[in-house]
Amino acid sequence: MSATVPGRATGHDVLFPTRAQDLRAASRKALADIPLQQLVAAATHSKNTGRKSLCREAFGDRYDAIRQLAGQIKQHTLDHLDRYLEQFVAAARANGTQIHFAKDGAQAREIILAIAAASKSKVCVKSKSMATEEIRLLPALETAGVETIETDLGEFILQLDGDAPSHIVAPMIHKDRHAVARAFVRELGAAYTAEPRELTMIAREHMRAKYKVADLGISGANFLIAQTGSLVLCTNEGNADLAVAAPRVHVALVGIEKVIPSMAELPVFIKLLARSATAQPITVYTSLISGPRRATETEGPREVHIVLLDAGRTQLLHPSTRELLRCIRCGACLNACPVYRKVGGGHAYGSVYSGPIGATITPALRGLGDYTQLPQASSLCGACFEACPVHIDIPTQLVNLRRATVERSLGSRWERLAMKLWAWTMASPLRYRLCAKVQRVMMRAIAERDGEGRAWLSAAPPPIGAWTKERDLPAPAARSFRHQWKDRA
Amino acid sequence: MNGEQLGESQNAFMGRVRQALAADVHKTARPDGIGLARLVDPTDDLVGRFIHTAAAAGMLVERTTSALANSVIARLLKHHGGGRVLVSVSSRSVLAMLVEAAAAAGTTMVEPGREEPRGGLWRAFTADIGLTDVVFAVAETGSIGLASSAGRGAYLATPVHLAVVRASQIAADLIDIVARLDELARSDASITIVSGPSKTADIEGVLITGVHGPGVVQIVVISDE
Repeated sequence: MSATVPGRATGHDVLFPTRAQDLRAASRKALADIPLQQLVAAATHSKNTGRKSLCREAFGDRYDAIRQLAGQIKQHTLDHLDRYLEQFVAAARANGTQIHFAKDGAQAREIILAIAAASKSKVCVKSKSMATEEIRLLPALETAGVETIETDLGEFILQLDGDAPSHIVAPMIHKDRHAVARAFVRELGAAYTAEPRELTMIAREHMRAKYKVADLGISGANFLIAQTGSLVLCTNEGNADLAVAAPRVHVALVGIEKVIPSMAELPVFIKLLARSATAQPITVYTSLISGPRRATETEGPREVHIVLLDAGRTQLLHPSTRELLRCIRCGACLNACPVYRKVGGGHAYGSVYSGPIGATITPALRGLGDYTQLPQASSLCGACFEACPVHIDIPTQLVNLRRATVERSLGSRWERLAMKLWAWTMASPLRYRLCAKVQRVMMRAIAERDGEGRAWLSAAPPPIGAWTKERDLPAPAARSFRHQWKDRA
Repeated sequence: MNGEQLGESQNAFMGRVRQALAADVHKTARPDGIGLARLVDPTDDLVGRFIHTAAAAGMLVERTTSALANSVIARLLKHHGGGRVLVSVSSRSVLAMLVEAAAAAGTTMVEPGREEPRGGLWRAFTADIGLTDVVFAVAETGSIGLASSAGRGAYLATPVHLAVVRASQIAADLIDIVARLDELARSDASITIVSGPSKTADIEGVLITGVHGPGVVQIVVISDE
């Protein structure tokens, strides 16, 4: 299948380039890839319709009010992030958790590698975390000689293929069972089978052996609870729970936006997260980790470290973009987005975070200059806003980014010229009337009549040709509305 | 690595956060209407509702009375293949009953024994069944709560997990376990809310259970009403 990239370890850099890639070229390729289109459509459509029906069933007409409530809780926390972060840090330290601060990805990698070295870690079991993708932790650990295994089944398969996740929640929607089977034969020496249950059991046995010998467990976190200093992990597989429970040392890399004030707010997010992500009432495992094993406990890590990550988040904290930090990474906006579905999922975006939320936070985190195409990857239909469990107004954020693109003259030269011409035309009634007349006459000249005598354009020159290639455009009336209005008077 | 703080200083890091917030003219108030998200009323039939939602989440549920609990647990241990059983409890009071049931089922107990130097879940990795009580249950989601003071492997690593729930432990809504979670976050390093067998749908969306943790979660609800 063309969507998979052969070769190991290099895939991450190929698929997550440090500079943006050409979204148009990538999506053109994806549009022609029929199996990819089918895989992505199937995965996103079922989750999107499942989310809608499950949320309506559970919340009824309170659905929007509950989304707003969740949005307000996160907005309140972000508005007082200084206070809540300090509170979290103090409470976590009181639990015996060691806290480190990373201003960027490089510093976060350094910290985690230093912990791995100090604990003489040779084998690491890692659970799925977008923050670790963001800082490219996996290649860094492997380069440092720490054998690292992604334990989320999807991420594990991507690791074997040197591939990158294409969805925040379901990372390998772009791959089919045969691709998995080939990877297991090639990398694990398994006998060929394309049966999902058998493939899953092969992965289970492989990873069991790693849990038994791992020194280091790495996770992200879905939430941090300021009042108790706890971190919350939500998974269906239970891989994160094993990855943090089995090794001696647990390190969690967490963005500062994950904080919520107290346990009282947690149910609101638990209720929304799994319903929005995978159309389930709750994830199978919801774990609250509050420090290393207690003196009386016989299982669990002896050291727990939390690395708090900035990496552009304090930039996003600016009042105009702050609401983007409410995101709980459920992926609902990806599933709802017609553009995400058609460009073959996340890879086309060329960024760790894809879909509508990725199109807004990537330019904000990494600089708009390299990512001017991302805010354009939306029809502004509003499906993402409607799906968002924390009520982020993504369309407005996209429009703001488009405005910034224009204001900072980052768009294409031709677009700027066309817009200037347009503004000049629209500024004078005479020029507008003249232009409309030319357009009407030309369009009528190339129109053809159907059996009922109506005129249609079926093959117009560019740029209207892009429309008429797929469908006919009715020809304009002989006399303009302004003329007809005058006649009527 | 103990005690040493790595990376940036807390002051420098927090300075950027404070700076970003400094120009705020408006701050969102902390919402107090969490009750809006309530889905189950505490006056509902909680046992009935719990059994229904737990089954819907893919767990096996059997209801019994305290008089019969022992023989029901023994029967279910046999039904799920017996073998090596790891017993982990949070409440000492049920330990005797579970040990007795495991013996009656003719299973081998995995010795709680001494600590393993790696600190891992080695006992659980050798067990066939994890037998536990719970620290709470939730009717809304059919969830059971487990805490690390009893150990973690019995409910995270075994192929089969058998959990004993007393009717009085069932809360209506996730909102109703908040105080309990607060308490447990202080006493236990880890709390896990389990809501089904370990599952994945990563390969073409096909649902597979038992990918990492227990593929079978069997619940016994003891209710004398």
